Amino acid sequence: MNPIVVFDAVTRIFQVRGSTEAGTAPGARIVQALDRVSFAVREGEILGLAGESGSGKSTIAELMAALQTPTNGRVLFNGEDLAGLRGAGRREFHRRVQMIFQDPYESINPQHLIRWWVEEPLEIHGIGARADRLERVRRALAQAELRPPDAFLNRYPHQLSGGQRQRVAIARAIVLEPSLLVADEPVSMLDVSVRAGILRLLRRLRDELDLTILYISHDLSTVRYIADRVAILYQGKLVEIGGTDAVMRTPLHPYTQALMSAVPTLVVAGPRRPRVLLPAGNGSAATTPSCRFAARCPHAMNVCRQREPLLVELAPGHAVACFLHSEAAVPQPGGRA
Amino acid sequence: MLLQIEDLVVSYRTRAGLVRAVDGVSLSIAAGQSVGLVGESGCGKTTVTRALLRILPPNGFIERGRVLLEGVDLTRLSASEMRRVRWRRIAMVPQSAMNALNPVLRVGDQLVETIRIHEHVDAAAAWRRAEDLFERVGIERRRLYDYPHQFSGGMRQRVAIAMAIALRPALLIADEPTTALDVLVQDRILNLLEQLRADLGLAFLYITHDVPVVAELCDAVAVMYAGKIVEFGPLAQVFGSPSHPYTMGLLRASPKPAAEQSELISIPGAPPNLVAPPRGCRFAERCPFADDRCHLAEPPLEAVAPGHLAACHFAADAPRMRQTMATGDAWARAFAGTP
Repeated sequence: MNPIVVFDAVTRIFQVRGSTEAGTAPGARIVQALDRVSFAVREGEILGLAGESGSGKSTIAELMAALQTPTNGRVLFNGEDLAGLRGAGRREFHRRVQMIFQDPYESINPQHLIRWWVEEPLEIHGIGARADRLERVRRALAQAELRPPDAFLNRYPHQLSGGQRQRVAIARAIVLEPSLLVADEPVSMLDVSVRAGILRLLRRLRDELDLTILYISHDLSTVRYIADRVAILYQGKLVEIGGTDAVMRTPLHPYTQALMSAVPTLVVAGPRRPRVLLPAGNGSAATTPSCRFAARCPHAMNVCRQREPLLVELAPGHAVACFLHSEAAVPQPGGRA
Repeated sequence: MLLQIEDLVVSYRTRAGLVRAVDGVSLSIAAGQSVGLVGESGCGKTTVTRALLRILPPNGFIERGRVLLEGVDLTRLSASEMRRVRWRRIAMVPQSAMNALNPVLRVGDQLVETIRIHEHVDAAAAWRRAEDLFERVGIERRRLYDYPHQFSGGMRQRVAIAMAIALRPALLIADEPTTALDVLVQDRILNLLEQLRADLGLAFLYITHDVPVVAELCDAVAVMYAGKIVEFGPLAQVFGSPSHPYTMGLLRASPKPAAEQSELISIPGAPPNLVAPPRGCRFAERCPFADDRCHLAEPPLEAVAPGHLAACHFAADAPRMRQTMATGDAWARAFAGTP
């Protein structure tokens, strides 16, 4: 499958004034949100992106939607560097890449009717005449399973349930017939009983509209349910990537293993899940090259504190950045995984 | 029984009318027992906890029912009597510890203050207690000198737990104490709560929408829907042999990351408007098994097995319903074509 998006050694650095979390002294501080992250999103797939808060998930989402620019490295969309996009090309990119956010209560303006809300992107992009636009709005609502669409056109957001609002947000995203959907925690604010419906809808839209989806979540359960492949981020580093089944069944990176073992399980009888409690994480970035997980890793070796492991493909399509698994993780001059 | 809630009715006055957020809830918790109260947003689970702590917002009031804590009816206590119960007998760990902590005071001073308001001890003794509490919840004692903003989310939650156990309560109410946390941090907090329960003999009322978390922490579980308890019993029975379709739905809606993934279900529709609740079963409109009777008459909460209660006209038929659920998406079949 062709890659639709390629992250090529993308680094993103933020300058932060002081810090509320760690209690450091005020003054400019540098946060490396992403450190030389390389991966591809394949056309037609649902790629899950999982990691804890602060791991860089949302930075990847924003880079992918060109809401941010990389400090170093390149983000390619259909082979084209986003940094070079101008004018009509840039507008076309912003039509073809759409985002869905976590909170359907915040992302929809309560003052507008649903029809206005879903039609607005068409207006912005100058697509269609008035009557044609309304037809497109109807179609998008129906595709988002808000049926019959006419029953929703003239309603206000507050008249809808959380699940329905998220469907409106999805309709607004697909009305432009995009090729890539970036969904940042789209179900984490929703009730459990309606989550599956939204996840299934996303899968169906992928199939029917030839969409590619980047699905971002801290919740491995929903990633497992929806994603074809999954990428695991830890402190701005991609530590493991592969088929969802392979990564979740046989996680190779100790961090992925820890994440998987920490998910509460619905075991009613029999032995309970053993708790593998890692030492608490420290948010500070390493000053010397090393594996960022080394301080918390139950298997850390000397090499882990002296060098930084590279992402190496261990099985077809399953890559991990960990010295436990491969000598090849040792960086070679000029080499790249 | 440590806590006995009997036929509790709690209402809110709203512009749309009187909303009965909790409508006839009965629940009991034995000393040292851990009971989960599961339900989705708006089902009334948080209102139950607010009513029993008597911290309802101004438009909320207890219409009816009793809340017996160690035999004393909390609904009849004066405000000052209630203050002596809160923290000392029942304490609460909130969802976001930031809301429970004063941002401009060092956490050590807040702990000392909490202790000294309720007990006659001098400042030095209270500070020593605070140090012990921090040790117990896994925080270095020097951090008593820090301000709330200097703690990470997980650490702040530990501070809130230290605060909650400061006066050695018999019952700890935990309202979604880990939902805002990452999975590794959540795991450590769950471990801490289990440890405290074992060490201190605490009873827990654990409020959450997260079914797997309840499965890990609780001995018994109450499932709430639209202001009512629809199923209650020992954990192994309620989650192992669910007898109310809503419980079955909740269980089938939770994905399992490590196990074989069966198809998830979603429950169409939304809970009823509690200003004018339906006459019959409140779940009937969303239930794939409902028939005329369900729309007309409300099913009572009745025993399906010793200690296991369910409010469903078809509870006796639960094995058949479970089978139907297991062989596919009963909802998709029953509601084919409706949004």
